Amino acid sequence: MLARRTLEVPLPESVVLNDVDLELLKASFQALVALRCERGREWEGLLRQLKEDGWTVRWGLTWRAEAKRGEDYEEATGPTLDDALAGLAQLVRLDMASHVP
Amino acid sequence: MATAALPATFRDVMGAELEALKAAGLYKEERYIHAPQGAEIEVEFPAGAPLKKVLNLCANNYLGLSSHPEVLAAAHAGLDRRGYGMSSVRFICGTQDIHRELENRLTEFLGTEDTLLFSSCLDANAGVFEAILSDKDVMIADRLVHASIVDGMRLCKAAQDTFKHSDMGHLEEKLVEHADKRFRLVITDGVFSMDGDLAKLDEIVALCRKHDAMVFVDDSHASGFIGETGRGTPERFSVLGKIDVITTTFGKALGGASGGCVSGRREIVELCRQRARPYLFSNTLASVIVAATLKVLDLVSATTERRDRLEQNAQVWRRLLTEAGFDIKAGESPIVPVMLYNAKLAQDVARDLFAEEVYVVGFFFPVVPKGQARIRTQLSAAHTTAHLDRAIAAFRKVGKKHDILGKSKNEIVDRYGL
Repeated sequence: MLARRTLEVPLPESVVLNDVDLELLKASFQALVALRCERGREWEGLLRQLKEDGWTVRWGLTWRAEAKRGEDYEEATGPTLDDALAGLAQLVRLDMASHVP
Repeated sequence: MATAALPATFRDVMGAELEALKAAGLYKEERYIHAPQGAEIEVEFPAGAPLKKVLNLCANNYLGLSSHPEVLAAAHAGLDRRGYGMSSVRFICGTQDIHRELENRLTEFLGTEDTLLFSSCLDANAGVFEAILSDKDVMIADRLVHASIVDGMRLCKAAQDTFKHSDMGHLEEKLVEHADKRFRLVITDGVFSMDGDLAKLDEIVALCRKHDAMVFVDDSHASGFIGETGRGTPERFSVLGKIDVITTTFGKALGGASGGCVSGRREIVELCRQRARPYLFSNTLASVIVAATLKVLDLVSATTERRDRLEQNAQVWRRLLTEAGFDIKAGESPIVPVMLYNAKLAQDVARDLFAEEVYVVGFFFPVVPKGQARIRTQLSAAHTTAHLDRAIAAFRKVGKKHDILGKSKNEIVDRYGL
């Protein structure tokens, strides 16, 4: 069995974190590790192919927000939760208004 | 004959969705019209019922040109001279001389620099934003713009934002908020189809000039009759030539068949010609419609008689409804909503008016906001004084039956609920 390996990340001294903050940070790092290491390396081939086809590719983690109401569904992503929810609200608002022909 | 393979679960799911639409009162049923479009039509409804001659107060036939003899003659001549179908998209072998002639005539009529035809205004709206904007830009739309604009915005990579309906203070806030974007495009209908109110186009243009933004107007419910010579809301608000992009339809006042266009700054139109997907991957409007629309432009350019009559009809109709005690949305367009607030009441009133040989449609949530149910009446230059007298007599009779004449919104809501 492989030895359990951990990574220690120092936090700025001025930052005061509560239990929820710590859980969020822990979950975020676990997600990062999973995305980077536990899902295989097929993405490297896809990335290479895209670049060979002339695409400049940027990628990274993002917030994703979704809204459902009956059959209606919207989703939006953003670099921050604020951005994702603002995008979601905008999409919902586009169709919130009534529409007649 | 064996039916095509279709998963039973798919049939079950779709069937349940259709039943849900019916249960919610949202199931749309077509009424078969056994006559050319006009002020009076013969309707089969429900299917199989005897024909009923009714007064039509729900068509977009604003100028009464849908069945005008000169338009019909032009269509016949167009069919004879240019054939029926093109069997090609525009940029392969689907462009005739009359397509370009119509584009030039529309450019002149709308006071723009160039025009590109689409098979509908819905297609024009679906294609224009994606063709001219990128992720460096932002679209800022009035919250009551037409559904096809919403669809077009969703297809575009530019950021999306909205401003409160006709709220110029909020629009300016948004223009400032997005000052970092490469281009800001402010998007509005010229006439809003739900309430019939007009965009404050002069104020929008002034704000866009101040903030170096561009203006987009869908003038589908205005082209041909709003403004002194029917050139639409830009003429009404003295901003002809100052609108960057106009889209409009030939499916309403301008003959009523189908087709639409993007008209505006030369570069914008040319980019649509190069990139707009509905233009690139679909045939354009049929030659017969092009020929008829050219005749329509002749007719509306030769005289303002029809738009004048329409304006007068709208004024008379608004007065008649108000005098009868109905609660209507104030405005100047030929779209005159009669407010009933309650969905069932709107449906009942529409049904009773049909029994009285007046054809109108009730709109209620989610087509309009909750508590805003109404009957949308639409005037036409084809309506005569006798038609309006007949219509108001029917409205009075039905209004009296439901005890809504002279009643305020609160009184109607107290009685029928929202």
